[in-house]
Amino acid sequence: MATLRPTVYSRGSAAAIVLVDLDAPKENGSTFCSTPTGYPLPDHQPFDPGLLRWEENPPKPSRGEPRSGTIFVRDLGHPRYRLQSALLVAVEVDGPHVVAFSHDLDAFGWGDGEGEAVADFKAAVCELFDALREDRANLGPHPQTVLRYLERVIAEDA
Amino acid sequence: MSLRTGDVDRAFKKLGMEIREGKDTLAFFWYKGKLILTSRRSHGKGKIEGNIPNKIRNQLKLREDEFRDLVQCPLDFDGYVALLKKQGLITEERPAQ
Repeated sequence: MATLRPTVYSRGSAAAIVLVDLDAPKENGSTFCSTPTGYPLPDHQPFDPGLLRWEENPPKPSRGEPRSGTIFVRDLGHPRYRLQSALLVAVEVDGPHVVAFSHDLDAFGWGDGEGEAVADFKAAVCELFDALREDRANLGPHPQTVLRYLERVIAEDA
Repeated sequence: MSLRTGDVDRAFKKLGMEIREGKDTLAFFWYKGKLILTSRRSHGKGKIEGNIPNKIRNQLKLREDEFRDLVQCPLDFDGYVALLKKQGLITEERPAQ
């Protein structure tokens, strides 16, 4: 049985709790991540520890330079959809672009900066939510899991 | 990995994915009346570079070699369905006894 150590990673006012598997080799994707809602990653996918490594030993980026890490998204920038709990989103600097993605949702967005990538990610989540609700009666196992998760975290204002 | 948007469109088309145009191009993979997975790419005709092809590959639930096969042609619809069944993403309903 694996030995899991809860570890808190923080960035500014945001924090994520990650269970680190002490028995697994480091380079073997040994870190499992739990979301702020406590909802497990689908199929307990290994979370890439490289995404969080900077939190353990943060580099010092020059002013204004985007850096990779994780953030909490607290709204969807949508007139009706409101997040009831924050989404944990990984932000990756990818050459000239920034990619924002969620392992839970298998959704991503991108842009020239973190703000643009996160805004694109939010739009992708809203589009996905609309599409899955529209086809609710005909979803396979994976989209069903994603829709259940989205319905748990998104409230719709009248 | 770098891809052209045309490569991704051909891959979506080869898998018979339903395309819906919105802010981006959304692609829906259906099998026997069930929505199995979704993917998306941005509008534009240029290259898709950096990590974005990997994100599309993840949404299609393919390993790197399988995604390469999809783009370069050996992987067809039936092969793709077999891979998704192996991952438990497509489950066949048993006929009632």
